[in-house]
Amino acid sequence: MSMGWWPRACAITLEQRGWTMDRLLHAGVRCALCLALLATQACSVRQYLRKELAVNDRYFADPEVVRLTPRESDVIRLIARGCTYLQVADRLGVSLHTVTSHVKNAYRKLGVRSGAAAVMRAVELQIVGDGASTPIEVQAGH
Amino acid sequence: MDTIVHITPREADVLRLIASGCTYSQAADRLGVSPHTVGSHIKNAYRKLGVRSGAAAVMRAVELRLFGQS
Repeated sequence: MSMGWWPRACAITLEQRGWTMDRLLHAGVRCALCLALLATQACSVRQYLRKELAVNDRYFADPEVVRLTPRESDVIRLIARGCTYLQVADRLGVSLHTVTSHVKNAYRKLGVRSGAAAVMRAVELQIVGDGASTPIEVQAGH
Repeated sequence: MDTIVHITPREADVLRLIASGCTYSQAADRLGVSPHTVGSHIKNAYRKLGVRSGAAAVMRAVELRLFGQS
């Protein structure tokens, strides 16, 4: 991780709901921990901290380190347009297996676990346009 | 050519949470509503946006500036 943002504070909160955690994270706190959630974890405090730190680090990963291959970007772009994996495979002329493999690698690099989050990160990182350019029309169903 | 899309504040909240990586149940927890209610907001938002996936919904929401300008 870059030294640029490493020395940030860690906050511990009692609040489980609401925007407290997000607010803390966006205020630059490196790790916001929730005691209520900690109590529900079936692991040691050390493991919990390690897990949360890893998650937060990935979330705030330096945009510079995210390098999607052109193919991974293509896949994310098509998924953002509403294509199913099968439609993506069809368009790119590759197998479904190859598409899922690109998706998996792209998710890992972006630090996300869903298509919705992947698209949001890709927009933030300007891998996918935010609508300034002409959208690609996608034909649904084959 | 975009037709005007009227998303309720709650639907926008749900979309924002989904875009930030929350699962439906995490979104429900954060908003203090049931997962069923979240599903309902999602379904309505998808219909209004004319999409059938979370990824496409987020893309449309960004294009329509529903998440606000940053």
